[in-house]
Amino acid sequence: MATRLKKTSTVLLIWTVAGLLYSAQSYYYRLELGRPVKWLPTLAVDAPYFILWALFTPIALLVSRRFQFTRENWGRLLLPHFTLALLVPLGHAVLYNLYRFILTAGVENGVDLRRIFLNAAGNVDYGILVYFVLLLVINVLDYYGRFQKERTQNAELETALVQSQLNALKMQLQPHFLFNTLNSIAVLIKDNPERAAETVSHLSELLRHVLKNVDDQFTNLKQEVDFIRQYLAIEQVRFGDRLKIRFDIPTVLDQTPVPSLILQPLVENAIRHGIAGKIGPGLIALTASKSDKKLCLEVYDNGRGYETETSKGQFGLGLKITRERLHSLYGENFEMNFSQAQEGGTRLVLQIPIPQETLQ
Amino acid sequence: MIRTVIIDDEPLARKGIQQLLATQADFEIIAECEDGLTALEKIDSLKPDLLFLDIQMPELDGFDVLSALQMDPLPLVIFVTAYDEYALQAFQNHAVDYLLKPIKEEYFLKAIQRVRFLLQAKNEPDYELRLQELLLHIQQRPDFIQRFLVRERNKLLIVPIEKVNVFEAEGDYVCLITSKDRYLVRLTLSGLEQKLDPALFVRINRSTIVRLRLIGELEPLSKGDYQLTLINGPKYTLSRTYREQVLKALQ
Repeated sequence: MATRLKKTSTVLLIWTVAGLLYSAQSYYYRLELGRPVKWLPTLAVDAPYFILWALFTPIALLVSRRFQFTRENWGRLLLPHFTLALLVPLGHAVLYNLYRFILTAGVENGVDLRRIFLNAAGNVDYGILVYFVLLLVINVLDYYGRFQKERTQNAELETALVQSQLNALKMQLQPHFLFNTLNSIAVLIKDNPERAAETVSHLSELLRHVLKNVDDQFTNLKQEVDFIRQYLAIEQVRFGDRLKIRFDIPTVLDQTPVPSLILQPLVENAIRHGIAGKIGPGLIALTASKSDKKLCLEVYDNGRGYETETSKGQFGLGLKITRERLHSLYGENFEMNFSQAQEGGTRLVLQIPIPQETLQ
Repeated sequence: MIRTVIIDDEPLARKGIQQLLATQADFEIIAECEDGLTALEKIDSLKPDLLFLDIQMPELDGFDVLSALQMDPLPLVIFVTAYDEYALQAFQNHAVDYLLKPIKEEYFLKAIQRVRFLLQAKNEPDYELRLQELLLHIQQRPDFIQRFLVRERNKLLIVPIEKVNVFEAEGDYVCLITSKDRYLVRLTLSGLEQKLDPALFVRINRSTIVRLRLIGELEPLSKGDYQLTLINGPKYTLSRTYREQVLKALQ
């Protein structure tokens, strides 16, 4: 109810201001022409013309919403719109002329309806113009409202999308990885019980991290890298000691926020496309650095290299999801590029903004 | 002796099957392969009786290996998988043997007992049929095709979908055209069309599918047809039957 009252008074206020302006204009116009003119009568005659429109604004609103133009129906709406564009201003003109009649002649001698109607028909043209402007303003405001609403909806959709992508990532990590790791542990129990126990504790740490970050979009770099350490330790078990791992993460960057689980698909890609199928020891190196308010993360593998990789130019599902997720988090404000390393192998460089409050 | 090949990209997973087979005197492991391509070569040359075949492997997966097998009769196959709902459903529907990782010894023993039985019964016609049906089923998997396996003389080649620019129908075959080469694979263009990502590829006439990104120019010809030029040069006819869907895809 409060909003309704507010809306009604806003409409009334706008028309009153218009009425005052019109009266002022009319006053100075007559002054300029050298005609006798007084403030009060001008105001009494001219201001109500616009103030009366406040009464017709709800009708215009109703009309514009009931007969809303779309691409398909505009032809059928022309007739009702034109009819109403005559009737509404005519109603207004009749009311206004009635008011003027009463103002100048009074009611003692009766009301000359014929004259009022003739006058109304005579000066309805200006009213039609006002009516069209009113319709236009209403449509613009409605359009803007719908636009705003759509934008909020889009933003909500986007958040939901990001959330689902995160979930998809977790699911992608979980079943395959989990059961393959359990299988490795089962084999190790007979073969190398110590290694089996070690792997169980890596897996536990990993699961703890995933469970803890289940609803968070962001974590800090230290936690993310610790997670990758556990993940790689398990991959080392699964793929044998063909995998060498090197980390270069400056401790000053430990608290830098990063999207949670962002590194895992990148590292997984390096293993799958870079190391798997390679003869001789594979190397994965993870490097972090800061440059110009950006966090730069680098995943290097000494695998078969850029040219022969199947992922050349395109990305596997995990990388595609990662890119989409980064896009919805940062818009265009991130970079993710593959390049061929000079020393052979592939380097993936990811650059994401560091939030202001984390920068000293 | 039952001559066995183990195919899995993880060394410990292969070791697991070794461990389980170690107590079975009538099984002999004649090869272990860590990827699909090597597996196909080994199977071609060794003609084993039995495969332990992992489903999830990089590049060629277990099903790719199975569909590219040219052995006749097909070897017996025990599928091994960590997690794949679609595959599990397929195995159950077609009553072929599969094991879940980590492998439960009881199920393993049952599976190899069945292998012994099937090999003694020899040409059980039913088994091969079930495998063929499974393959058909798997080929209707809803996901998009990722790569093609091409036989060139005596060599096997993997052509990833990223490299293919154009598909052209040639009789019972489809010609894959990359920037450098052309390869023939036994496929129908319509069947292939179903397996391609419509965001990447579009059909432009009865016998051609092109990569959307490569479409450079469209010039109207007579009768609503267009001449379509790819950015790397080749020209094709965009027939009016496919015009609408091409224009839609380009927007």
